[in-house]
Amino acid sequence: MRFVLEIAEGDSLYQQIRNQVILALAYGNLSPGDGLPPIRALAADLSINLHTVHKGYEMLEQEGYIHLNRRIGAVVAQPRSPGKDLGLWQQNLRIRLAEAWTQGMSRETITQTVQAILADFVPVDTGRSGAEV
Amino acid sequence: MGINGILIVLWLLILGFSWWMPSLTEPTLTLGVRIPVDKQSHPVVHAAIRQYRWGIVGMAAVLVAGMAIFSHLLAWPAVAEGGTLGLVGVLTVNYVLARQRIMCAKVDEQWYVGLSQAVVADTDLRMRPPRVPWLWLMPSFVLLVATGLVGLYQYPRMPPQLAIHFGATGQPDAWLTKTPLHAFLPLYIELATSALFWAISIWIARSVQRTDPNRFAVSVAQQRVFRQIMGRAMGVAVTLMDLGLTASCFTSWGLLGHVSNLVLWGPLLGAAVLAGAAVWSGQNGSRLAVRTGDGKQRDGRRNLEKSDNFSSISQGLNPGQDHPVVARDDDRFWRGGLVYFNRQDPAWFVPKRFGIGWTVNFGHPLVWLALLLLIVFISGIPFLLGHGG
Repeated sequence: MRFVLEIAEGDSLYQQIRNQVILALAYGNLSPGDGLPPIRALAADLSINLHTVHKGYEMLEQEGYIHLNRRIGAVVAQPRSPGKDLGLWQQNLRIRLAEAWTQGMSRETITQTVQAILADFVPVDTGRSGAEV
Repeated sequence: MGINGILIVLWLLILGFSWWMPSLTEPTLTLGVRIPVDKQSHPVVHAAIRQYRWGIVGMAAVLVAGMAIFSHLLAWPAVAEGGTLGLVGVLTVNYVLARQRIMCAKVDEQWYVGLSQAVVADTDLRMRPPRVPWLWLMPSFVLLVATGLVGLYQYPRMPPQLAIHFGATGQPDAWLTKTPLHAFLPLYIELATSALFWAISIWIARSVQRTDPNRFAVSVAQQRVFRQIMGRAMGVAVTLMDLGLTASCFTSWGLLGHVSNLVLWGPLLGAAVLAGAAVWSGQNGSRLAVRTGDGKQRDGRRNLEKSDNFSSISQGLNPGQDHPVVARDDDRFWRGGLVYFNRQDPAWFVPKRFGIGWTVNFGHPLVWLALLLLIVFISGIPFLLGHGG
């Protein structure tokens, strides 16, 4: 997968690392069981502070996207059921949709945009064979 | 070819390399200045490179004219050393003056205003690095072991006084009493040099990447091939150098009555192979023609990363944003475009901006410690050998 961290972005760098791992999973550029580079190596490749990468990885681990292990490094976890995060996710989605709605976007445009985004996603557990579908 | 000839060739080689250097570096690093991708053909950039190159042509002209007039002075060692230092000094001034023009235009015209800067990396280069070229390192290993075996076999037959230094005519002019330390000294040097080269070629495969967001796929592919080429070139170079060192072992063990030409030509050819590979590849592989995925990539993964159009990368990752992304303006971490100092970066070694190969990150505290240990070690060698004081 690729990391593209924008320096002046609204999101902090570790937030971007977290987001891009999740996006890579959704787009099939990363699959459960795949390894991520060691913290020090990724920080050196990006020429950023290793605590930034560490923070991004820790967020991903707390949210259950990856396993961190001193011996085998960072590994993408198997998908899990939404569970307790569902309420928070709905709340966030509500805010994003409300932003679009109050900016005057029509119901159709919003639905079409959401569907266009979803169309690019591949099933996470079959990420490797996604291209053949 | 006398000492004068070698000196002239060396100086002209330095000038030639320097003249060529702007073509060997990455397209967004002109004369060690980071520039946005759309400024590569800016008139000031072209003018600065022209100024830099004409400066070098001028130096070469002065040098050749000076040689013709003052050739008798070249026999003095002080002229040889001072001349080389002076040349490097003038080259540096020439470089600084030329890059200053780009820096001024960059600031005056605000080249980075309105651009989104990014640091980027490809995880594949880390998780599936190029293979270490074991096969290419093997000949030097075999040569070293064979030399060691010959040395062990020969030891009882060696004369009680070993020749360790040879005069200009090839006749020995310094001797040491035979002990295992003295007898195998050239072998230890060969072992240490080989080990260093092996370590470097293993390290190259995993060295730090510096990927350009505007040529993402090409840049990653180039760095991959670059690591392969340089790793193999290291294997060839260490083999050639070991041939020379083995020859000097054999001379010191009395197996060769004279100093072999290999002692000089082995390391020279090795250096030429390395320089050739580096020039062919360009800095960090920037001159290599590579094929990148055109939609079909290994693993058959769905590939949203196939396009090298940077705005689509940005869109894919941050939907809704279509402003262009450029490589971060990291000039502030590069003193003079030559010395890297970045406290945030955990990397020890990074690809040079203006030059061939890698340089250290002086912002890393352990780099200073390593340099200190290296100086202590080098100055301690005479004491280790019992010649100190």
